[in-house]
Amino acid sequence: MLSKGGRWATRTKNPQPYVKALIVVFLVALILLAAMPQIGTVILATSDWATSGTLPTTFTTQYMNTLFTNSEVRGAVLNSLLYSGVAVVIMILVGSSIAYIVDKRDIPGKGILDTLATIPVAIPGISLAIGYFLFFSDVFQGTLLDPLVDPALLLISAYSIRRLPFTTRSVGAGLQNVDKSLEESSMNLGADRSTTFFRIVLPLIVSHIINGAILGFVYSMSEVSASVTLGGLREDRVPITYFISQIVYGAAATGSVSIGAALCVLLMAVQITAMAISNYILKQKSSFLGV
Amino acid sequence: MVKVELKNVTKRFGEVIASDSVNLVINDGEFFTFLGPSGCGKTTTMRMIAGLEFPSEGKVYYDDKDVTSLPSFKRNTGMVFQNYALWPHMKVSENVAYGLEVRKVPKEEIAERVEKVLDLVGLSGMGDRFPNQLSGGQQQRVALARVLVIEPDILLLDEPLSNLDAKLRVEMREEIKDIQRKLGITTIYVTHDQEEAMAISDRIAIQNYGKIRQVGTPQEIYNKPDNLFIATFIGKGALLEGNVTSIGENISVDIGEGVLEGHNTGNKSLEEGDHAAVVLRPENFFLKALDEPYNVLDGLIEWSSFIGAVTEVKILIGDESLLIDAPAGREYVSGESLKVYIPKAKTVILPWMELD
Repeated sequence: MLSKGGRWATRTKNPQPYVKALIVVFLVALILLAAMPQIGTVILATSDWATSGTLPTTFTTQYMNTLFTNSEVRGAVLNSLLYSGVAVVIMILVGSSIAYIVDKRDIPGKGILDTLATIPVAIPGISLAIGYFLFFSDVFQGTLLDPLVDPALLLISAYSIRRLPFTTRSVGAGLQNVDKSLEESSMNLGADRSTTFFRIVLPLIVSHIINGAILGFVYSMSEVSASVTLGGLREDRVPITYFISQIVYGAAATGSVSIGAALCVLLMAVQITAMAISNYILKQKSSFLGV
Repeated sequence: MVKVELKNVTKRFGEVIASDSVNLVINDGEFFTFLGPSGCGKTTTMRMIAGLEFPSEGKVYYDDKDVTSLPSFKRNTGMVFQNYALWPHMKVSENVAYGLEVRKVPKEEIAERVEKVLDLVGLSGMGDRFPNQLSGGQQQRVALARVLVIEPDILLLDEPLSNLDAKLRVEMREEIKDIQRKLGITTIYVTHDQEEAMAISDRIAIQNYGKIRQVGTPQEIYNKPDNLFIATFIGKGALLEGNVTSIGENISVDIGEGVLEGHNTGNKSLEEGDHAAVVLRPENFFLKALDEPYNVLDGLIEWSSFIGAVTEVKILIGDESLLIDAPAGREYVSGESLKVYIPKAKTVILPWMELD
């Protein structure tokens, strides 16, 4: 018996042309179906309807413009950018440290640390948010940590903790690629631990750190549970997602659903850009991120 | 250049004893090799000398200075790792310059020394390449240049040739030996390849199960093995098992097919009636009677293979097969009988020990 396998004769078969066509049609249909909400959102954000009829009648940029002109909307966008930005810095510092300790240091209890850093994935955001509310509004009543005084710090904290695992995992994956001998050879040649870290380890994992930061940022921008629960406690502190939810429930002062759609378009744009950057940095062909 | 001394050095990883009560002196300027089967603790012992591992017990001295707990970056040793451990994000010249940069050597001097050392290892003009643009042999040279440039007190080489092909391995080992001779640097080498160890070393320490079993020059270890493990680990050779029948100027061992006389090179003495092994090297068999005292064995030719300078012949003595190097100038027909003569002076007799 001859085997057809091997480097020059692979076992894969090329499909017939009509099968190929079928596959393409099926996949396009599937992707279109999956993208319907996004397509709808974009249409909603960029067009107007006549009073009757199912199709949009005119193209308009007024709702997208609102993102920059309406102070309420702009405030929500800036708040989200600020919270996510600060949260990303915290995630990187804490997440990288945890990843480094777990991967490179032999200290007791590092397994527990690893678990603790991963657990937030499994905690529903709503539980975290309500827990925060009950604890901080009681124990830290009247201070900056009291969400009734200012929810900003708690939102940053919630974002940092909920999205920490993504950063930790990403940096951890990078560190696993840095063989122990690369650090040992540096120390052997006279570099102390910190020089070794900054000149050898950091440059080798910087793409993973950036990738982790992008992931953390995107997920923070689109965080819902904590944002909706805590975000509305002070009017000038609302994040994007809280604002969208208010529009959807018809409770926002700036009422049009189309403005909500414009905000969604902004979030999608942030995510797509982030994915593109992240893909470029890691030079991977497909991303595991979902839009 | 320094002398290295290990006093009672033991390293445990949990239950496992990697190095077991190692006592050694490695002389200034010496090419010293740790040789042993994989997992014997030779790399761990070297890593303790480099300061990348710290002994559970015992002391490490450089020139009588206790460095047992001194971190690696304060020891001024240069270690070449088995996988080379070149930094992939740095060019060859940056890799080589690194050790000088962390020592705060002036820029102009760094450039000069990097160029000089790249020249020494035969890589001049390659400074702008990245490690992944180099062949295995070239990467090996970069790894060597990177440690030589800092002018280390001790050069440590951890199986540096194991990733190279056979021909390059021989070339590189000669080059390493050459450079070492030129620089006169104390060099510690780890390998599991006994031929490599013999070819390159001034002295060899053979380690097994964490313990140093014998230290000596290649000749001493080959010709005067301390025990049966060494005798079988180093070089080719055949073992014949028997009992000591008499102790005199020579020791006589009855192997069933006759009595062989030889001498005990081991570090344990033999008594009459003891279980012993006769170790015979292939090159010590002759096909005609000798002028010096000799042993004779009658064998049956199993097979022969012509390998150039000699013909390897396998002969059957009783139910033991022996490999002998026979002259190439004649035919060896399987099934025919062959009388072999072994000088008594080259017949090594050792106390029996169980080998695994």
